[in-house]
Amino acid sequence: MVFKLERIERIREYEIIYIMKPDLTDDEQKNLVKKIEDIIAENKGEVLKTTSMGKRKLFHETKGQLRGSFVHSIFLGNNKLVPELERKLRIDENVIRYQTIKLVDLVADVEARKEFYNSPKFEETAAVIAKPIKEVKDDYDKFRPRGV
Amino acid sequence: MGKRDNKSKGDKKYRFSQPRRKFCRFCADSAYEIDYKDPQVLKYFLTEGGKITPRRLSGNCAMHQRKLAKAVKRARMIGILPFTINNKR
Ligand SMILES: [Zn+2]
Repeated sequence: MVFKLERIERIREYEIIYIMKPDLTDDEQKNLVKKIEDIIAENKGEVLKTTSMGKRKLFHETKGQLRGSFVHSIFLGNNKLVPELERKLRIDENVIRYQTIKLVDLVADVEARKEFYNSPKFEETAAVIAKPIKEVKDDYDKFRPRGV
Repeated sequence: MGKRDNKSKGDKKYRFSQPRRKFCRFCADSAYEIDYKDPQVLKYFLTEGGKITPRRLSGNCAMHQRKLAKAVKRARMIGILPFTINNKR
């Protein structure tokens, strides 16, 4: 018996956070975001949502920077897109850190995912993402384990 | 000694070592989700030095402890949680 292996091109869903240098001008930031969205589009991907997480303090020095502007982006793409995107990000001087995470391994219904990211349900999640750390009140006190 | 003995609470040996019952905070309240982008939740599960609290202290269930540990590590990589906090200078 011979099994034929068919190669299916999976569409996966990823999220990426990249940190830009804090001293970029608004135009430079916009260009960089646009550039990254273009890279995704060129490699058969599709950006679903891009949220700015604002400027934040970093806990450890990264590429000589103690602060950075965070951008969070959710996109669809195949497995070849991510290495290419990360290669470009590594070269870019204005990006000090990036992290890609796979959210969904096999997206069956692309339209449903697009709809989800435009629904009010996602807005709640987006609010958490965009919330500046300084403004968050410490309403999680009940989480604190005893003795810590 | 191989088998576990059924000791009652009244036993002298165990009278003073009854720990308070701990519970998993994420199981108890489903409103709080573990998200590496939200360091406000995660930071309460770090010790003063920035380490992840062990399960015997935090009371988390195995599943949530695993998710928490992963989230903390992801948050560390993008610089929104510390690897260590060194107070000695
Ligand atoms: Zn739990």
